[in-house]
Amino acid sequence: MADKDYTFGLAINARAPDNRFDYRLSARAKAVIHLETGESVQYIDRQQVRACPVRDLSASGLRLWSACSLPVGAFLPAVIHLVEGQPDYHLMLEIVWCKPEQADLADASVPPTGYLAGCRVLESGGTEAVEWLEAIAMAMLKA
Amino acid sequence: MSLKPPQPPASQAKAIDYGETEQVLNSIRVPDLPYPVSGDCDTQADVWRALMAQFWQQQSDVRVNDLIGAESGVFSVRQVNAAYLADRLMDVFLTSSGFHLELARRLARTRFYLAWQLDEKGSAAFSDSLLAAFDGLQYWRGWSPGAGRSARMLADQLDDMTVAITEAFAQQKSANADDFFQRWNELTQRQKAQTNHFHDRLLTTEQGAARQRYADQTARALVSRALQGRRLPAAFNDFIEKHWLPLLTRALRDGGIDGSDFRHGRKLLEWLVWLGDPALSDGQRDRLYQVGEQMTDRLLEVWQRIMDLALSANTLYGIQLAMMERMRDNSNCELHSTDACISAIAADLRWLSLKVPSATEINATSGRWYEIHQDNAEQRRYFFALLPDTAEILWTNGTGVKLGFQDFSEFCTQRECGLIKPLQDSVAFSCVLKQIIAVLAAAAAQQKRDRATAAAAANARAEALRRERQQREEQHRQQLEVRKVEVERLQLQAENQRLAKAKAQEEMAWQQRLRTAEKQVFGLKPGHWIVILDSAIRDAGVERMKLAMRLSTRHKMVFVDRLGLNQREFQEQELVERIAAEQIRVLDSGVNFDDTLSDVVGRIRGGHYSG
Repeated sequence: MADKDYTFGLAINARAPDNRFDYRLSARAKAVIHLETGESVQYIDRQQVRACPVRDLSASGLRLWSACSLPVGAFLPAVIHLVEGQPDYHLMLEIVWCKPEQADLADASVPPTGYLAGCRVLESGGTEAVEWLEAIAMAMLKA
Repeated sequence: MSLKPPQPPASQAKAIDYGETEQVLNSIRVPDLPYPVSGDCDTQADVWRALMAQFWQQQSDVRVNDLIGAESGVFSVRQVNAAYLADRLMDVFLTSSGFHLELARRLARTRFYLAWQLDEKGSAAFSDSLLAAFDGLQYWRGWSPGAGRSARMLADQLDDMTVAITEAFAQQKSANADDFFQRWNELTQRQKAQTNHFHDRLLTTEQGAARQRYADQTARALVSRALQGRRLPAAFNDFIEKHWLPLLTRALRDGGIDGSDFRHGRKLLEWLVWLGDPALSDGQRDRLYQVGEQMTDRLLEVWQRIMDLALSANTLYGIQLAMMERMRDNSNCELHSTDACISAIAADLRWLSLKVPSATEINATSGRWYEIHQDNAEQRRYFFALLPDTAEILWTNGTGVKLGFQDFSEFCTQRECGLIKPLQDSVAFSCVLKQIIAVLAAAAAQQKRDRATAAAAANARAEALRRERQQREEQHRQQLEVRKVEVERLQLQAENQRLAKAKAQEEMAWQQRLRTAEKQVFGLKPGHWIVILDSAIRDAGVERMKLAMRLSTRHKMVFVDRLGLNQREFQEQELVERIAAEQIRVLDSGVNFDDTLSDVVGRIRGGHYSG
């Protein structure tokens, strides 16, 4: 669990671990990202697709957890599932950063429990970037 | 005059703002907690209650949020926040309480009860009886499980609490728990009153005893010092030890070291020793007579004054004889070393240099709990009072039972070397509660403002993108129209000018190809592939690339390789021309990542993938 030392609320902006400046909504969503695509692939095998739990969301991006490291700088297609029973969002993500999630921050020799990655949602034509923005606005208002 | 009926004294519970607690529960988002995306996620209260009841039944020592994080279900924002608030409250309160680990552990489990109640009732979860019982816990700071009969009482309460809360969960009524908290608080109050009574009595007794001890030890030390290295007639030794020492003790006890009684008694002791030891007085015969003549009267007078009765003739006889013998010229009285006498007195000379701590030192250390490490064991002791006469600490168990004395100086030394540690100052539960609610309410209000701003910005951005998208479609339509007109014009021209027919046809074919390419480029979506046929324009030899992003306003397209890397940008027009010139071809995009990913998402939801 985060905030084990209960510092949340004591200092404004004390926790800003990535590069997004806009408000981030702590929420659990699901992202499925496509690590590798080919022009004639009919079948997607396990290695190429990864389901990642989302930790927080903002209009311009999201932070997700992944069991393995993600390639920084890569543009990857992804489907985001926000709310049960509502449509998914097909987007392009840019992996901006990826860091090991350390269970024990003081001891670097402990292997990481996974990786956290900051992703930018690319406002590209041909994706559902507009619908995504509207969904995020709605989620912010209904949070 | 006010018409209002008299109000009961406001308890701490009333100080907690209902609205603030509701705001925290319903809207705050603490980083990394498992909130659903939507705030109006519908989850059933009885599922939550059953889950909390289960954790309580297990008497788990884990945080609520750690436990629910491992559950597969979805919980509402309010439930996740109820868990967070219960965790934060109990953890912060108990960390600052200084309670024995066992007590802290047992109390910490009430987090499950709080998490249930907070979800169901909001700030009403903090009932008056619960707050009173938790605030009353300060009284039990010295508690440790191995402290005998007095420890049993709280241990029983903790067992009763387990039963009462289990009942509350089973009956779905907080009244079961509240009744218990009420009884617990009453018991604490009774215990407190009893302890105060015990402490008062103990202090009176121990102060008297300390005074007596001080008088006795100080008198012994003073006499012992006065006799050091002297040789006196036997009757002198005997008189001093058996009569004058008790007199000095009494004078010290009743009037203290600065009292006139003690001053007189001490002066006479000095004269007696001077008189008795020829080494001191034989050189001053005149003075010897003078002192000797007055001595009997002075002894009688001081004795009468301090002991409140006459010195018996018998007692006086022996010392009088010895004094007269000392006053005779060529006196030849038998002298004895004072060593035997000193050893009989068994004095501890340290009492003469007794250092009484200052009021500041006492204030800073007394009335507090300490943990004492001795022989690999720990004991909690309460520094109940400093006995000023003996500069000793009177330790108790916090419930009015004496645990022992300790020299203040020894206490200071042991504190310095870590054998004695003060328990940290503890903060009452209701104070911790108020602080946490205030901090979180402020954060929740800030988040709400931030979310409104973020929503407005996202909506504005969506609107702008939508407009761009429409503009782009319109532009494309116009472009195709222009191209069509151009082809028609060329066709006409070809018919009219037979000579230039070949050139015009060539131009027309080019325009046709451009038109096809424009359609293709317009239709390209992220995930679609192109192949670069002309090796001269390949980047690092990469032949096949897929579209990753298209920036409509800037007419820019970004392509990447199959791993999403090695970006390459094309202007739309450049791409159109290269396709028309057959340097680049749009591959038949048989794979639409949308479709395949949707398929995968479906399979993951169906449980075929674990990621």
